[in-house]
Amino acid sequence: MIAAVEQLHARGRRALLAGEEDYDRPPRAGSRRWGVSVILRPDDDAARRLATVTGEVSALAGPGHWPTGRLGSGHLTVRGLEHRRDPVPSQDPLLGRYCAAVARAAERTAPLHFALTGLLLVPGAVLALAEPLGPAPDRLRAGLAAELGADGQFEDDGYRQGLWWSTLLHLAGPLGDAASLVDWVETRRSLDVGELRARSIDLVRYAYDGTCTSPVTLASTPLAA
Amino acid sequence: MARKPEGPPPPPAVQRLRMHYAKRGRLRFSSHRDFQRAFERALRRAAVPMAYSAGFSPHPKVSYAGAAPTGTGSEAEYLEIALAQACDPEQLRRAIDESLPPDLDVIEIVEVPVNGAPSLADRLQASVWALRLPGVAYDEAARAVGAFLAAPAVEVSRMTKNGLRTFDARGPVVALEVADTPGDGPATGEQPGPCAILRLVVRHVTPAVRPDDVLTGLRQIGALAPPETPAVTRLAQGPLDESSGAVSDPLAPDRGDVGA
Repeated sequence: MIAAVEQLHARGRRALLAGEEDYDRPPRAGSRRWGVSVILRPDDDAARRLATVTGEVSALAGPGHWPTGRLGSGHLTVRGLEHRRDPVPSQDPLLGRYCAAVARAAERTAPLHFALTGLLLVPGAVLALAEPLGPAPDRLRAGLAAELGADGQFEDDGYRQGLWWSTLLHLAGPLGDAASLVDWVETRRSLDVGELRARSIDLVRYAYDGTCTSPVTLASTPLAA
Repeated sequence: MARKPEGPPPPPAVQRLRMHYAKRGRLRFSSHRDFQRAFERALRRAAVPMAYSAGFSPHPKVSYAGAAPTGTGSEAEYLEIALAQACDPEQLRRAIDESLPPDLDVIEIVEVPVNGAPSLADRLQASVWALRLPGVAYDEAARAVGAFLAAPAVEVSRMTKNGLRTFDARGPVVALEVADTPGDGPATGEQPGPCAILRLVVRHVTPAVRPDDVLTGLRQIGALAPPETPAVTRLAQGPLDESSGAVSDPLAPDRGDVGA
């Protein structure tokens, strides 16, 4: 786990310093990014703390990047479910199957707690690492995969490498001073952002408002805090 | 003097509906003929008051548009039906969906004017496809895609019902790229296992350039030889914006058309 995080950060660091970072772009139909997904919404306290750090990193990165960790947008992804489509028809039977799978997986889910233990870079984003406090989050992820069955084939089970994170900033264009951003993140590799309790498991689509792509809830299953 | 069928003519069409459906999971292996049979049975099972053509062999009025090839999944299939009695589109959607096999999912039905609505087929100008290539690394796929896109033309041959046809698979390709990481994850441009995924936008032309033609072209020009059968899914089809290469929703202009 630690090795995977270090590899991810090292790759992000290298990319940013070499000017080879990846950029997000507004979602478009057929893209593998920003399709219907299952996410966890943070409790209000954690959401505020994540938003504060997001404000800091956004100020440093400069304008034009996506402050994904802002209030109302910050989240932890359990699993991406499909390619981007516009629109997402609410009556699509597949959405009904997703909802039923989420509800079945949520029934067996104990409260989900995480410790936000530091920041890291990847080639296209700045993330806050979330370490599960207990086995419940990983069990939820595995349980959801089992409940989805053939409807969960979009994302490879190994894609997230057992990691949980909340993205603070998605890069959307060239950085003015990449070295400063790298230094800033590296001095916060062990930043204690506090605990996060998931308040719900949400099935979401994503909406782009010109500044950021934020989750829009299609169905929500509340969780015990 | 021409013979005429006995009896009164069938009732006229009073409602036209456009349907968006998906072919998912194992049903990707069903052919268009299979779908037609299943759909027409579902119409009967759901007691849909279809309008019928006149003549000695009346047929329910169904127009299929741009069906995906056998073996490919699709999130974006369309057809149009005419009814002899007006129905609520959402109730009808639910009834037909329940009468079809699982994985043939009716996603949406919209109403269009009985006369004068622009043709649905004319709006299906291009498709977006996802080609999942198990066993192919990102870099290997990216090299082949680069070679394909750099070529002015890529001639491929395919057996059609009119015999072997040779045509250019490069010209109608609007975009071809190795896809990004899924969901909202970090845009690393890499996948954890060797399974490159291509995103293809291709213009609808005659003869049609299909995803397997592009794969043939990638093999010829980029030496891309997937060790396993690729999984191909149509993600969208509709009007093509030539400047951006975006393919939009073909039913968007129809929503709210009737009575507006």
